[in-house]
Amino acid sequence: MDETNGVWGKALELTGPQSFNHNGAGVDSLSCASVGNCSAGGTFPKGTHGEPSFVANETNGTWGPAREIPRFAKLNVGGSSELRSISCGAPGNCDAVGQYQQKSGVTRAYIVSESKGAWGPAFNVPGLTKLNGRHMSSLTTISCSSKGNCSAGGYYGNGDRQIAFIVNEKNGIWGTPMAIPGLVVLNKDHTSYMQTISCASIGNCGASGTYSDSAGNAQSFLVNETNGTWGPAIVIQGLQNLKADSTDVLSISCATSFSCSAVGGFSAPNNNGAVIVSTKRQH
Amino acid sequence: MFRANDSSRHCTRHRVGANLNKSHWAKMMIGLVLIAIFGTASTDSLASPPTSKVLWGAAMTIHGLPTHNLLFGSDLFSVSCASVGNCSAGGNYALNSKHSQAFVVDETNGVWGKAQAVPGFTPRDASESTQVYVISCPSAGNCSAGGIYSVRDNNTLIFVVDETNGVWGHAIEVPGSARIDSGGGSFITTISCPSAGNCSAGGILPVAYSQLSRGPS
Repeated sequence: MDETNGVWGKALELTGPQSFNHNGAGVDSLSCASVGNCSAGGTFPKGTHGEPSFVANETNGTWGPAREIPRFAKLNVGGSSELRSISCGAPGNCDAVGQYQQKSGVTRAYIVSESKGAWGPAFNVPGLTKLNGRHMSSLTTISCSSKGNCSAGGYYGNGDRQIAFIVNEKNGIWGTPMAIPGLVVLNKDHTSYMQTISCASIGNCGASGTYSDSAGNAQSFLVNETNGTWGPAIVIQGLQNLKADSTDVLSISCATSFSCSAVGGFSAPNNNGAVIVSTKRQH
Repeated sequence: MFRANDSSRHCTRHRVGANLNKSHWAKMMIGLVLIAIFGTASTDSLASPPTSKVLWGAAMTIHGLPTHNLLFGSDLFSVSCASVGNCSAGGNYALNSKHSQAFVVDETNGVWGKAQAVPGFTPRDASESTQVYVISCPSAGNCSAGGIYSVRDNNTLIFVVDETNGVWGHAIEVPGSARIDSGGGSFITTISCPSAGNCSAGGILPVAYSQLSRGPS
């Protein structure tokens, strides 16, 4: 079906290598840097090649096949993987994140970058081993404001705790992962992770994640990066009025460095409801 | 990997937390049994800047949602901001104890409006469940959203709906997505619109697929 004048065309099935299991495969994340230039990613269901992550590119309106991330099998020795999020800073220049499985069975975060339309191999988060050894980690969300300038978030754990972290890419170079400033004070039950991130421009992003309070309830926090510096975790205000005992922010979007909105839900003893949190107008 | 007819897919897709609490928690716990505990010290950052440079307001609920005594009231799954003070979000609210209604809500010039049921579902559909899961707004008042609606045999189908100049159109079933061999479930997991009327969306049928649309800029 032709795709013209805002009319949704027919659903297209991505093609891919016959040796992979396509039955039940899905696109988990997609990003378009310009009209007709997008990238998508997901995971092939378990088959003879395990559960490898794939990427697919649309160039000038034509979708190419789903392909396993280059040399992914070398990394994903345990066989199971998930591509969680993809973001394109410019046409043909995207990054994706997710997790693979080590031989031990423990999952580990990966990053994969596309440059000029060609996807490179997946790699570990630089510096995360120094922070967390070869223990469990995952990257769950990424946002790129321009080519080679992205921020990604996820979590790592060492057996006693799970810690939300963020890592920035600047001019194509990934920096050192960092735990969210101030979150340790809130994360009484030692379980936190990043849920969603949105970058309005280079070094200016908003993100949200979840921590466990002293009662073991999941609570969302907000955090912003301003001019390249991540601020402290911010507790969502006004929940007392809703009698909420837990919150779950699922999505955030930032139009500028100081203008973001986040949405999700709250749970109260007698009801659950949708909630919006927005930044205050700057004057 | 999610299955096409796994009704929990759309929940786990969007809720990392729920995902962690289920499959990922299970995987993590298995992993933790396997790995040695080296007594790694906490690596949480103790350095906490005094304040954020960005000022967040208080959490607010949405106007225009029905009031009832159901445990589940409403939820929002996705938000997209085209410019300062101009965002749109989508989710669902309970119609009764079994069914939900897809809705969108717009922020215009910094003011969030009332929840609006996604137009276009027939009375038959409205008696069942509809939910918005993804939304993308390339410019103020011009957004596209996608979601699912379940029909009587517990099959789920996917829809898209466009907003043009602040007015939401009718939801349409994604052409070609109602497959006989779908095994009961299709989901839309992602959408991206680089300009008004020009979007791509992805999700799951029995095999991976991508859906795209072209329109005037």
